[in-house]
Amino acid sequence: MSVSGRAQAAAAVVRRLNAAVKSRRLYAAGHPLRAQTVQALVATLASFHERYGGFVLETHRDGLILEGRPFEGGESIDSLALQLYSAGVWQLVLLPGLTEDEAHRLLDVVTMDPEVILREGGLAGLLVAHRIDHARVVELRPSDDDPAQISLETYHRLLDGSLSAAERAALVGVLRAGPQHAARLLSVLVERTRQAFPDAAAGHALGARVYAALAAVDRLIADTPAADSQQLLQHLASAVTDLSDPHSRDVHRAVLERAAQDLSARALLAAMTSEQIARMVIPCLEEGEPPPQVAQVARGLPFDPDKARDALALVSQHTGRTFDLPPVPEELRLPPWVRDIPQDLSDYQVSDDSLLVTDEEIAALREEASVDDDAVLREHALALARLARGEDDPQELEATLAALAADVDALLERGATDVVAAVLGRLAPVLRAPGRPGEVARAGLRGMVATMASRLGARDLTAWPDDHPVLQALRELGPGLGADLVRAAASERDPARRQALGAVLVRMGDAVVDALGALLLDRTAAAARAAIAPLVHIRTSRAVAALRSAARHPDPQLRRDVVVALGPLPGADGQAALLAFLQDPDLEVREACVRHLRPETVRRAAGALTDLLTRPETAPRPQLRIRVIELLASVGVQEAIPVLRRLSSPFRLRRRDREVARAARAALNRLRRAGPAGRGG
Amino acid sequence: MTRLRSPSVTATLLRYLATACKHRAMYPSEHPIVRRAMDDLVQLVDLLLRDREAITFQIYEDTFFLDNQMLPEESLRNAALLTACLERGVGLFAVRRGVTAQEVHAFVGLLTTPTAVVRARGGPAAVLSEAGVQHLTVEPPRDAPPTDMPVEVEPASAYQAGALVAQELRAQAVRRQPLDMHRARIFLSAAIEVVLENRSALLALLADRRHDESSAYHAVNVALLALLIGTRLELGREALMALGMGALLHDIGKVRVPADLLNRAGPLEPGEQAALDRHPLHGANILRDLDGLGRLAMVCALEHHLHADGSGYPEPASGVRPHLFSRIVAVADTYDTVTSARRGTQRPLRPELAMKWIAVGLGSVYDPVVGKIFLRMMGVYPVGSLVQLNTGELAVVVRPAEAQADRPVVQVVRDGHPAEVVDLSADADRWIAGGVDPADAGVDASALVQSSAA
Repeated sequence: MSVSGRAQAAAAVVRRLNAAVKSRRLYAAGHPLRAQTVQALVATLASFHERYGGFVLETHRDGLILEGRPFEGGESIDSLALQLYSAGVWQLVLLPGLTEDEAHRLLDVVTMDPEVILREGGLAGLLVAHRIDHARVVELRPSDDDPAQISLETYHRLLDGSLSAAERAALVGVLRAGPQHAARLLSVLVERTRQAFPDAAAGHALGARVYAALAAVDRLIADTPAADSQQLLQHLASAVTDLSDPHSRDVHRAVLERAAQDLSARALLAAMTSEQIARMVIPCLEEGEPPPQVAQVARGLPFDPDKARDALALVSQHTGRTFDLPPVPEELRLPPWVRDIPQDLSDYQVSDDSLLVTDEEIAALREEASVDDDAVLREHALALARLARGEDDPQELEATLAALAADVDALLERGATDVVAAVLGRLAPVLRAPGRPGEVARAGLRGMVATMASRLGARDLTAWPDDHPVLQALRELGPGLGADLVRAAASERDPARRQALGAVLVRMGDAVVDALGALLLDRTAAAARAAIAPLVHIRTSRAVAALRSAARHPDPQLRRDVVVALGPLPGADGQAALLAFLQDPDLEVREACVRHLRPETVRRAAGALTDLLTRPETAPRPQLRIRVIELLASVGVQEAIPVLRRLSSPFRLRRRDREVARAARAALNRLRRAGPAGRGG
Repeated sequence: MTRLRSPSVTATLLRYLATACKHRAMYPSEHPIVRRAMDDLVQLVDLLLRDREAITFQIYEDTFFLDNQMLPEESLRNAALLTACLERGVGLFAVRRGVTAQEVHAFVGLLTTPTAVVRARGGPAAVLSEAGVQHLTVEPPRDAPPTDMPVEVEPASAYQAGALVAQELRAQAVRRQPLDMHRARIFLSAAIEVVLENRSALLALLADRRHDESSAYHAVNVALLALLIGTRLELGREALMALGMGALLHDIGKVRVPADLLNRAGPLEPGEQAALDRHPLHGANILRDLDGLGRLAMVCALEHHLHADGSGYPEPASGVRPHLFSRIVAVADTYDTVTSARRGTQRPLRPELAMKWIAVGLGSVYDPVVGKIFLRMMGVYPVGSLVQLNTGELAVVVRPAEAQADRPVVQVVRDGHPAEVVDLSADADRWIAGGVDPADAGVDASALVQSSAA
């Protein structure tokens, strides 16, 4: 059975009921019209009962609700609604089997004076007393509380839009109950405004604050069903006009001032009559205010210039002043993206052919609509990355990056490294943000990469090819994040995590070299030391150059560590870097350096090495001198012969010197055998 | 069992029962307010059982059902009652003719008895049996829909449920509380049923353009329009649920935009516009921690102003196409925004002009396929459009015709009253000459559509 058929049949019953009530009022007992209308009612009702069962009519103060929807049937029906409402009826239920006699008695009861009904104990009791068995009523119950009497807390929730459903319903109920109730609510709002804001006792501040509350009430009205909202707004508008407060003009002025630019003020003005508007404007003019209100009224009613004209005519009549009604622009308030329409929409033609969609196109979209866990996670993570890019509130950014880190972890668990790469790829600009957001971004990303490293492990990270998308994305983050990652690696206590982070740094390569180089020069040796291993593992020319710069570090132990790290590096770069340490003021450093010099580097360092042999401080270290001698001899450094001769004297008394002399002699023999032709060996 | 004919009326029983339970839990049983609530409940039960043998309510997926009628609005309004039932193991209750006041009182007593006590006494059925209740039976929750019949939902009930949920979600967002997505699911389940089963009634409901773009109804309208597009794509229920969540919450970020900006009638300064344009970011922040399908709601909130070509805001994303659901929400949002009326203050764009606007933006602003599906689904002249026929007659579009998007079913209007209904796709002699502004013609087009639907 269709809902629409029932609604139509129910509407027919209401019309018959209304006709019967009217004839009861208009005609004397015994008039044939009375009987005819009752017959028609009972027949229509019987038809309804036969098809749809029980009939229920619900009342509100100014209207009827039929089948759950407001029933509009003009003034006559409104009068029926008022009659039922006055009799205390919330729901009138007409059951199958209602006879004509019962219908007559029912109409007698319903049309009784409301006072009499109350005196008799209410309509429900009267129905029983008159043996009207097939009609029942559910009566209205006046509330024990005054819902208009809102607390200060509720007032604040009204202002910030966080009222509960029950509070919203209560306030809307007050507005629905009529202008007087709305006026009561407005008085309470004014009172609460003064309590909440000490500066709002009177004047402009009071007007502005009360207007904010009115706008909040207007937002409540906007959320009511459309059929209701205009009437609620009218009740509120009446309450505003008739506000009983010594400073009501401040409120009126605030509304008028905002009519040109604020939707709530406009809505109120639009819901007022010309007389109501004039009643607000006139006192403002009488107070000697300049008349901007006049223009504001006109601008506040862009879609109703006639009302504006009428209102101002009334103001003119009352004050004796004449006003030129400013031209009212026919304003189409639409967002700019709609206002900038490229063509004249009216002329634009949409042809049926232009709307053809192929099955393939639809299938492609359907494929995109996947909501499996992987797809949802992927979209969420990518969106979070974009959210992080657009966010400049540090707190929100921090929370977003934390959520993103969880997503990245889940993505890695599922092996979705391509998505992780896309996510990381979008985050590089976040690191460039100045100030606190930048700091938060670095901290957040550092944590994310650390978690990522630990999930992947050093072995996986090392195994990835150099062009792996995640590695490429990490390299993009390197310039902004390298130093933080290095610090994280340095402070990490868990060896596996530290190793994994180190592996990440290594795979980021040159992208983190600048950061590592800067860290290497940190005066805190412990921090600087953390940069050594990654740089050594990166091994690129830039990394080696960064290591070489450690020769300037004040801590000899660190310089020595760098030398020890550089020593085993294959290729010429590491050896070349070692040269920077050959003249280190610390002998230990120089010794370490010599230990790691390979013959192919010695020729370039011949001068420094030879010089080292002459240094008195190397005398106590025969092994150092012997190593240098061997190196010089191995590559045939003929320039070292004079120094070697001096050291080769057999008349050395100390044992250490004798060992050095022996090595020197062997070196001299070797050099002599090789001769000048041996150079370059 | 007698088929119930007026579910919305019968469902008021839930409200009375909820009120009685609430008062019974708060006041002593002899308190006048309790007595009054119990009397009202007993009276209503008596009334409702006059023309039927029994009334059976079942709870399935946190929603009350009356036979096969889903009651989303009542489920949301009486959530405490629903919880009280489920906590005590009541998934179904049937009240049969002959029930006495004492039996009704015993049932209310059951629903207000501590859950541990109910369990200790052997469960709800045992508690009622102990009290000698014979005309009121309870059963535990079932993991199946209530009846073999297809589930039915009144579109208006689903619509109001949506508005209720949208308002609550907004208030929760303002208070920075976790969003109650469970209630959103209740609405969306009902909305999906309506969209699948009662599309024409829904289109008639959506033809009422008196809602404010900033109201909760905007969220509901966008959700319903998005679901309509989703059904055209034959998306599964889970996907529709995710799409619905995204659409319902797409503008949730506006709660963090200063109210005076949202309320501004005139143009905004660049800084103010920038603040307004951040609402997708605010929305994404609010929805960031949702789990499950709610995660896509965050994506929609962030992307619903991103254009199909990657332009738009909050941040143009070259080479990145917004998610499908975001593209759907973008179309639905635009249509509802430009055709909504701010009461007495804003002139809405006529529906057919809104359609043309979307058509102009296909491929650049809007996804071309999604846009075309929307245009074909709604028609070039959507339901509720006032049009002038080539014969000079005024008519209101009452049903779209998908075979030919520009030849819908119209109802001719004569002297402001509805006359004959004409299917223009079957009438070669009449066609639409152009759209007419209802305000200029003095015709309440949406009321005519409502009456036509009724």
